[in-house]
Amino acid sequence: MRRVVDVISIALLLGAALAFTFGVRALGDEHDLAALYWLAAGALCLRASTDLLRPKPERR
Amino acid sequence: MIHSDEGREQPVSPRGKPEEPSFEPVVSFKVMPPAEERESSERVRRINVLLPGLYAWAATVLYPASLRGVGMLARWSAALALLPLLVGIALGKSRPLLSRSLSLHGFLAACALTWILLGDLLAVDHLDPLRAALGAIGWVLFAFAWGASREPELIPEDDPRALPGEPLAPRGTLPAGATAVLTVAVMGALVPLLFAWRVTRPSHALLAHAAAVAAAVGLVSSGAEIAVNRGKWAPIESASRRVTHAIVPLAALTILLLVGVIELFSS
Repeated sequence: MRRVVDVISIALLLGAALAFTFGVRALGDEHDLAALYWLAAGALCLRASTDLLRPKPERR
Repeated sequence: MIHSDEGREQPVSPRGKPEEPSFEPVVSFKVMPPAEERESSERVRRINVLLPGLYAWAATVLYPASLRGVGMLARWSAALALLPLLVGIALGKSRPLLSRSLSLHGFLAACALTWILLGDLLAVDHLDPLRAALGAIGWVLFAFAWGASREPELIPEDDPRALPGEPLAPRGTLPAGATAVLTVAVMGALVPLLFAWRVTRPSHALLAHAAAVAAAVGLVSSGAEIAVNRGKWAPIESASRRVTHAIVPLAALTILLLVGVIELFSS
């Protein structure tokens, strides 16, 4: 199961790279809303990939 | 020889005191090169700084200063900008601090002064993109020339002037596939940077470059973290706990993707 989560983490990193690429490409195609969408999706993918890797310590 | 508390024999110095245990390296490494060889590598290093510096100066300072309509002050400034670089390189190891200050800081300051004097001639709409890109590469090479990397197998601690001590052994090894993960992150970071050049609207182009740089920085840092730390927490953290902690960005991502899918099918 941990290996699966590792794979998901790497897949999310790849997804972030793809989303950022789509976002910047959409800016070039003058699709500003789509660009915002993809940039936000990329940021969330990146955040999820690092959170999966390194969970925050529990608050006591 | 004397006997320690544990009954082991220890070497004794001629003055009767136990000698400090001498450290002998387990593995023999390449020692520092002799003075002649260091002198030669220093000469190569100076040439490495000089050549890209000359190229960057010629492409980004001399060329725009030689165009028509440039004032004499800017022309003189452009010509004199090379002086600190040449003097600094000539000083070399005899005055290392002054040499560095002149050939790095002085040279950059003189070039920057020329650019200020050139004024509107360096505006974006007056620049030839290819020439500007080549000039930027020249400055990148100049910056890299100031860096230094350790020679393979050369251990600075083996220098006779270095203080002896225990070698610092690595505390761990990289997890399998770390290089592949980092390569994916770096390649993924390069793609948005390239696509940013496709944006033609001026204000949006700036935003695209800023977004691409931020994305590249984020991707490389996250990729490096995943590459290095993957698996280190495995004995402590269960998979379900990791997923639980990442639930907020995962849920937001799912909602965002759902909105995108709905928008795609409704339009």
